[in-house]
Amino acid sequence: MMARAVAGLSRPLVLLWCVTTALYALVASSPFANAQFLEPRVFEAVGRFADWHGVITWAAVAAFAASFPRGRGSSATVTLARVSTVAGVLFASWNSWHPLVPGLIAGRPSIFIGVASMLPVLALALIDHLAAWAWLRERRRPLSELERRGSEARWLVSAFATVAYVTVVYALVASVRLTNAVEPDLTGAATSGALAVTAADLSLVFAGLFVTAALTGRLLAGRFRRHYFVLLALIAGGAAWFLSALLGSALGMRDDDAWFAAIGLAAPLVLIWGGGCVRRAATRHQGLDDPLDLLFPRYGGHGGQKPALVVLAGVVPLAALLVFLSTALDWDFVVLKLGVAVVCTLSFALVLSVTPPRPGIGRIAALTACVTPLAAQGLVAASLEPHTLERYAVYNPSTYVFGALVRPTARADAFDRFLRAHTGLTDHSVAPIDIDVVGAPLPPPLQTPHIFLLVVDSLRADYLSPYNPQVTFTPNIAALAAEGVTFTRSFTRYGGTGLSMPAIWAGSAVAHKQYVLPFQRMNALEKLVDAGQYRRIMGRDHITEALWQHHSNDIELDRGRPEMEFEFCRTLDEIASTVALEAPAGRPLFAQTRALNLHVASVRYGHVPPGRSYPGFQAPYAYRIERMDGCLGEFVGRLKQLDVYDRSLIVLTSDHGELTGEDGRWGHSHHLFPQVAQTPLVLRLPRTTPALRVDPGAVAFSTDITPTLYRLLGYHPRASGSLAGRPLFDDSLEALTDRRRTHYVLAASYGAVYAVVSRNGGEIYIADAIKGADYVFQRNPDDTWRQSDVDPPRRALGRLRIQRFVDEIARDYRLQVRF
Amino acid sequence: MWLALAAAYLGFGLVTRKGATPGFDSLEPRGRHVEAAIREGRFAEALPAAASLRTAYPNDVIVLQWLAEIHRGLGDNGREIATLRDLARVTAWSDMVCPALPAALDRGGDPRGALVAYEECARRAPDAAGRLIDLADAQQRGGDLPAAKETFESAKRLTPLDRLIDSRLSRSPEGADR
Repeated sequence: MMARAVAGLSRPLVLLWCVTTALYALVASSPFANAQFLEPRVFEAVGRFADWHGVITWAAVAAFAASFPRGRGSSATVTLARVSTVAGVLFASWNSWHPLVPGLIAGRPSIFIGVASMLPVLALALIDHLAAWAWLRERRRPLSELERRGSEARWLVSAFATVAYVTVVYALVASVRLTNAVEPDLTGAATSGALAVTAADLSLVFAGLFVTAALTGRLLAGRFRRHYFVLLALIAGGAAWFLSALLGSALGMRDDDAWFAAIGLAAPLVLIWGGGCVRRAATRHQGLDDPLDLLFPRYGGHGGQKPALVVLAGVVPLAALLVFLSTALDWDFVVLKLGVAVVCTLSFALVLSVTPPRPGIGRIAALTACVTPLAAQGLVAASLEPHTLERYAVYNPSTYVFGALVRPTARADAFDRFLRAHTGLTDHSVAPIDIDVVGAPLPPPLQTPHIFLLVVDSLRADYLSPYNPQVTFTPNIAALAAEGVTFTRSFTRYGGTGLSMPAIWAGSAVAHKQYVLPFQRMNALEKLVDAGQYRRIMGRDHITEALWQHHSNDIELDRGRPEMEFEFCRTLDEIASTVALEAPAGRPLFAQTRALNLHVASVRYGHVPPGRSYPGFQAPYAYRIERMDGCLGEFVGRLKQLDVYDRSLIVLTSDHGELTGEDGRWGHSHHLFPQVAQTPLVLRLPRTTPALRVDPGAVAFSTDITPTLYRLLGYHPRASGSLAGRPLFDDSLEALTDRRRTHYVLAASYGAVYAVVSRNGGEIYIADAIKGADYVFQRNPDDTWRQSDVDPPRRALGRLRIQRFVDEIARDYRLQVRF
Repeated sequence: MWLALAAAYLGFGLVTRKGATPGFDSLEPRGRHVEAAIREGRFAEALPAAASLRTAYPNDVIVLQWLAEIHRGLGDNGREIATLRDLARVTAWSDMVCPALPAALDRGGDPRGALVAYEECARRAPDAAGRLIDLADAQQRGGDLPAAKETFESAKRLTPLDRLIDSRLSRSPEGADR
């Protein structure tokens, strides 16, 4: 008894180790997640898990060994258990000397390690099946026709009862969420139509499940074992398909990698679940004749109905709770999708357990029930405006999830493969190229003002008053803008720090690889700083560390602090103190920082002091910006006191914007939506700047910053292709206004998502080759954005422009990429 | 039997609901050849390949775009304009045509035709400020200053913060008088 209890408790521990290790490795395989969350140890508990993995592995091996009750099982199971345990001990020993998990890097090897970490689960499942093999072989009696039809009727009724129940549950959730939402398109009729489409989508999926279950039962009648394994394979296939979409989208994995990882996770989990069912049935000597009754709940009789109905009622608050959790801590809708899957599975299981087998339903009626949803769904969906369903799906998760299942907009065409193949380039060696804004060797500049390049990670333009009159909490940035120039249509060239910062320094779009090393040949800003013999005052985050040459007389900011603690106020204070010491020496100063106050992990769970409110804005994000604004004001004040302000060139910008919960989306990982693509760019020029023309209403990019600095220091940057940035100040206005008619291609740093900015920053076409989707956004006169339909000419033109951009990069970097 | 029917119906329904893909794939070898030739300025070499693609895909917007670029590269203003007019018909005066078509008409010495084309571009996308600015510039060049002022003001309503429009307005006599 005791041994069995220990064995029962040990299994969840083994499962926990395997799944946690696998998930960690899969997250580590993503360049974005690795660079943004694991490397900077955003979640300390996750970092500690990696640190202690060697020790935890020993505990998992002990649990694995304890999960086999002694003296039980055939010789084959005992042998397999012993061999697996010895293998576990060997692995744990090796893992203690060479800890595997802390050293995981982005790329395929981490995916293999993630899948391999599920091997113990596979071993347990195999042992379970071997132990119950005799019981499986005994099951030979075919169901009678009456039993078969009764079972089919029960499944059909349960499937459609689940559809009705889940539809009602999520309709309630959606109606609550819509209460205070401003959605002019979601009229009563439109909402009803969208709900009808959702019900039809759900019906279609559950009809498909029913037909699959019934058809397999008929085709494999009387062959219990084969039927059982076919069912397991189907369930594993379905789970793998769901997981591949989930992982591929959230971690930006390639299709084949996502499928490999998903099968590697799903198959062992489904097998161990099946093994548990079989072992339990064999131990209890149950006389089951239908594998569906083995794997799914059986009718519990009248006595079991009441408790099941109580639990079923509890699904409503569970669904609401999961939706709430998804709004609070989701990433790429993973929690939302898993929540819908849990609610549907649980509801179906409970409904199945309270539905008795019944005399067969007429075949015509059953056939009608199965085919009606498809026709109805097509008819109702066609009568709705295309974006009605999209808007309703923001509030009703089941509309979102089931719509994507049965009405996929995703393509998997050559263009998407082309983009994915040219993105990341982890498998390619990319040699650096020379990027010289004015030609080499670079003569000393005519002017050498102090330069302050203040980059705030993830700062959105529309949270600053120069860009949005609704903002009242950034008076100092407004003052800086009033004394300088605000580029009102400024964008990053890369949605994500990993490539955005290198592109700012290069003053050009760059190869899609993190990183092209050595970077010095490409670092146009460093060349400028060296030519001007600037004294460098810089933070050393992981990108600067890799891409800048560090001199012995550099002044390091935030010395000894983890990157996640690079805080705007403290860093500005440090810069101001350094300026006070160094400026009197007469040498020009170059200071740059990338503050992480607005990193998604800090903001989502950040607090706002009582009494402060930011109506219409994400409060923790706005509060942090207000604090930074105050510090910028103090910094400017100190520069004035030190009498260096008028000799200073200040650039305030960000590496990319951020989604702060718009339509449930957070962060910037694989997004180029306007909130991510648009960035602030404010320049305050020194008094001695020669008279130059500027067109602040023209579209500007992060890659223009370095060429602009060159121009302001007296150089004349040469035009060199569409990848290179251009100065935002020049002698002729015509040259500056020409950029209004040009289009520009942007890319996400961590995945195959590209965008085209055209119409002078008034339109963005986005091609998302991860999700196989595309979008068009257009700017409103008040600088907000609206989503438009993607018509074929827009798609064709957008794709052609992106293709040319990618081809140009490949040509410049001499890349040979197969797709 | 009925189960097999239901399965076939559902399977067919779901498979045929997959997202549509464009008819012509610009990444197929012939497309790559044309694209590379255009990029490298080998317009004469690109022309026959693009023309044969047009025979196969008469209304494909990428093929028409390539042809317009090739004709422009070869200095064949008449064919460039004709191709752009086809493109305008197929794409409802998309950004593939605006401002390429009126600019081609201007280059071909047809400012009147260019003005009409700029007007059509603006009419087709009334919320695109850039198209209005292009039209106003064309009106200014044509000497119709009141119309230019009115068009600039329409553009200003769409992009209130745009100082370039202010400077253009102040350059027109009406603007200077204010």
